[in-house]
Amino acid sequence: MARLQVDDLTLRVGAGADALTLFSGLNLTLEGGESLALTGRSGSGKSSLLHCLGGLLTPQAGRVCWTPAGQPTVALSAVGEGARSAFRRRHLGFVFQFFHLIPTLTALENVAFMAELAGQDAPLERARAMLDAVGLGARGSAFPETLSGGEQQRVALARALVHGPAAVLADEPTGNLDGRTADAVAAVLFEQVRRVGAALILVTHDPALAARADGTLALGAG
Amino acid sequence: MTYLWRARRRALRREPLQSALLILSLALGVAVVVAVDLVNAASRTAMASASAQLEGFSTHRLEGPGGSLDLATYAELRRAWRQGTLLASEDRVRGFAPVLEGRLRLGDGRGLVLLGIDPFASLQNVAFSDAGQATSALAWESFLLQPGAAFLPDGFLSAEGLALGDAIPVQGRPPLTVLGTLPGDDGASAQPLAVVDLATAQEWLGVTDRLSRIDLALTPPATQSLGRRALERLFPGLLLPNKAPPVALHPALRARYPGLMVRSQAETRLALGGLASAFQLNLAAMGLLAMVVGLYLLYGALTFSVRRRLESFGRFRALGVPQGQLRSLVLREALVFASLGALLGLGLGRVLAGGLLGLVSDTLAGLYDQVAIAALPFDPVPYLKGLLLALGGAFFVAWPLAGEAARAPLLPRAGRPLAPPIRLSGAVGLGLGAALLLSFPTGYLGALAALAALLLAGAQLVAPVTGGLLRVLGRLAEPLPLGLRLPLREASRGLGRAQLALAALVVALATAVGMTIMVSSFRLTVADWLTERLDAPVLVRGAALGADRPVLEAALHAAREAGVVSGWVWRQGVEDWLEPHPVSVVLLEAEGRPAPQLRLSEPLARRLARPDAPTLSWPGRLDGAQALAPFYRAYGGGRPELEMPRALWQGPAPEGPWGLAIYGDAEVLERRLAPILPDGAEMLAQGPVKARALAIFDRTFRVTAVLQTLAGLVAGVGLLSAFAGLALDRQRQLSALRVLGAPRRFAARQLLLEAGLLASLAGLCALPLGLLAAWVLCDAVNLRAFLWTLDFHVPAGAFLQALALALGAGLLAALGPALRAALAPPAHVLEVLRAEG
Repeated sequence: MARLQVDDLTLRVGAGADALTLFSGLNLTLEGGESLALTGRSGSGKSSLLHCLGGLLTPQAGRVCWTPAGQPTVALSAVGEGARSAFRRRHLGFVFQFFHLIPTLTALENVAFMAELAGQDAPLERARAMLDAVGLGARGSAFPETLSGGEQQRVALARALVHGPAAVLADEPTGNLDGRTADAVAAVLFEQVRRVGAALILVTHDPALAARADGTLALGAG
Repeated sequence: MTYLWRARRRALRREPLQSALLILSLALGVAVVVAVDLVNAASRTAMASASAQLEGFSTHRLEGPGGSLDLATYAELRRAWRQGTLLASEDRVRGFAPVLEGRLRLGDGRGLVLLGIDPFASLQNVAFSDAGQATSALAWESFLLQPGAAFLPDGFLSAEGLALGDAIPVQGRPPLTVLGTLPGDDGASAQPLAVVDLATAQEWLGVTDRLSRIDLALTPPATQSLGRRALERLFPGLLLPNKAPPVALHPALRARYPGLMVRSQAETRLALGGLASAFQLNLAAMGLLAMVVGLYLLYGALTFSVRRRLESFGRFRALGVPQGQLRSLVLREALVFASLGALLGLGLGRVLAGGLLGLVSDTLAGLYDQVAIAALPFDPVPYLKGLLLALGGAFFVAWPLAGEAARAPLLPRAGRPLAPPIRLSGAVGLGLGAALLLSFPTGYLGALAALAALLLAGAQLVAPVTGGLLRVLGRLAEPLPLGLRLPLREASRGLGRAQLALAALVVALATAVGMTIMVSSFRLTVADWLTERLDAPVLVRGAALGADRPVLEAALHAAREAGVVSGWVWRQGVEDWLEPHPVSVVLLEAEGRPAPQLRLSEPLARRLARPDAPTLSWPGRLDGAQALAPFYRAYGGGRPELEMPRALWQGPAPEGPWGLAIYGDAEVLERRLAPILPDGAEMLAQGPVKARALAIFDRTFRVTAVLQTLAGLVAGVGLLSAFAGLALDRQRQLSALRVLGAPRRFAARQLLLEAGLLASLAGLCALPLGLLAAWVLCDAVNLRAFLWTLDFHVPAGAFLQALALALGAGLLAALGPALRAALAPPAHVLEVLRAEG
């Protein structure tokens, strides 16, 4: 089972008089199959924490350690950019608020592309299976611009899971969807993440979505 | 309006690279036009100045056979002039001036042209100044009475540090004395000119019984129409010199002196005039091309700029901003860009002209010994033209876009294309127009217009053809991994944005391919022509060669028996009329060589409008209709010629200069024949003559290559701008991929692959278009302008070079954006993604 261990994490942004400490001495542990919602006001640092966990931001202090199932522990906050990229494509999945699908690839190809990037064999077959799992098996040949917002986010979800990641990091995954669609996407998100045994860390303003998670970390109090 | 403009200025400041590249591409276009015009104007001034020195006020010259006249003939011609019976035409001869011209060597070995004149009759533009005083009696007297008194160009004297009264050493002769100055010449001429009294010339040149020619001044001089003068001023070099109608001697004089001919001064300047005109025509055409490419890019950039903002324009309209203000905003923006580009271009053009000056000066020195340019004269017209072209062009391309902005929909419409529409009907129309211009006798300007129409038609087709090729490649690439197929898909998507830049690149590359093929065909044909004309290893020439013919023949027969000589051909030139054209006839007699045939030169055959005629009738010169062999090529310019076996000639006994082409080992021939050559005859090894002619040719077209590169550079800057825009469009996608774990090099590789693909496909499009351009240049422009055809020759490297250039330009243009994408720190990547919200 994968595991995330965060120790004494501190992140400051800006410099000099404008410097702002988003969080300090933060500790966190998450096991594969668990989910955690990061909540808080705008600017409280929840997206920044998510980016620290994904190795996109380097904290000033503390450690972010990932232990994928059957793999050695990687201190993501201590390795170089190349190693962090490699870790992300092999062991993490990302879901963005604005989907960020590649417009010139079909839904199936968008998913297969991630499997290919992660170095997996038979990427198309994996992608097809994953699209089926998120209920879009019939829309594989559609290009993103012809899909609804909810469908696009489900393709993004399939992309985040196709390579069997240790964790899925989702930044406001339903923030750009209407209430009903958001509910449907959230249901698929939690169901599929649990199915593949990955951890889920999501940033959200939506209390209903946060309530679906196993735990909540509220940021903003410093 | 103030607020709208202020907001726009701020937005432009946020995209400094795009704005800078747009200004730069326009500036380069303007710079090339200005530089070409400045250099062309300077070279024309230099040529006019050299002509004024050599020809003065004379419009024509009367030449005897062999380039000289005896004094008795001169006396009779002078009498005829006095009686008004010199010419067949009504032209009044205002001036009649004997001239003796020859060459001396200065003390340091440099050549000097010595022009002996009769100061009472001279048509020379000589300023009789004496120590800075205007025409003085003392100067006149000295000129007439003091042997060796000479007038030399002002520039030459300053360059040599010589003053009035100084002596100029001359090899093998007493020194010349500086008596006064000649106007013009900036001191850079390869061979300076010294004007002396006829008596001094006779003494210094050792010729006492003959003249070189008689200069004539005919009135009225041919005047040019106002329109033509304006066109020449605006597009120097684009119009070829007018051909003056031929002037003939009075029939009685023609019958008595069959070898005497009246030539216009312009005609005598045309020894290599064809090449010179071709050279100037090329310069002018390339300059215009660079400007068209620059305006094309401006059009593309403005179209994107306006269409990207249509939604905001709609919002402004919804808020109540009047349509006129929106229209004015777009026009103002275009004019600001054009003004900045033009101002930068004017400065760059001046610098560029300075750089080109050396190359052009070398070319002119090769074509005309007397012409050289040392500095650019101040001429405001090219600058004004550059400015007006940029501003007028910008207004022209911005006007419809301003209308589009003013009519922007109040509610945003999805799916509106950003790229200007491709109108296949436009391409078809332009193609048909080109075909019509090529089918009818529209002259070389019509052929040039057809070339421009073909290039523009081709440019219209670049996007659809490239799109089609990308689709085919996409299908072929199905088995490849998605990471490799993605650039193909993205290239297809980016085609809309890059299409105008690609079209500009295609136009520049096609022109380069066309010019390369044309120049290569031209060179090969000229080389073949030179090989044919100069096929004998040794040529002996001299006016009196005919008199010594028996001695030479005996020596040649002996040499032939000894195996030194394989054969020879006697040539004698005759100036005559093949109505209504003055012609040079070459009479040939061969020994041990293929029998000569009656042949017309190509320009003559075409001038007679019967290039494929089987026979030629020439009453008084030929016995009935004689069979004609196919025409032969001639590229020298000047008077059209024909050649024939001497036995066919039925005209008056020829008196023209003799030549003897001898076949055998050049070195042995020179050694054995030199001792028996008559006085005044000279022996020339033909190999070096051919090499020099080809060297002049190569030098002539070197400037063209430089200008091709510059036009390519303008297109390259456009490409840089387009690919920077494409990278900007893809920033979010590539940032998302970085977050997903794509390595840094992935983004760079994607951008480079896309750019390389688009540019290579554009390069492929340029190949057939370039071939078509070459065909028009070889078979239409050259034929119509100079009455000569070229053997079509495609050099092996032309296509590869174009493809490599396209790929190189694409990769180079994408390198910056690719590096930026690869080196972007994660914080920047996150910022880009955040910006979406």
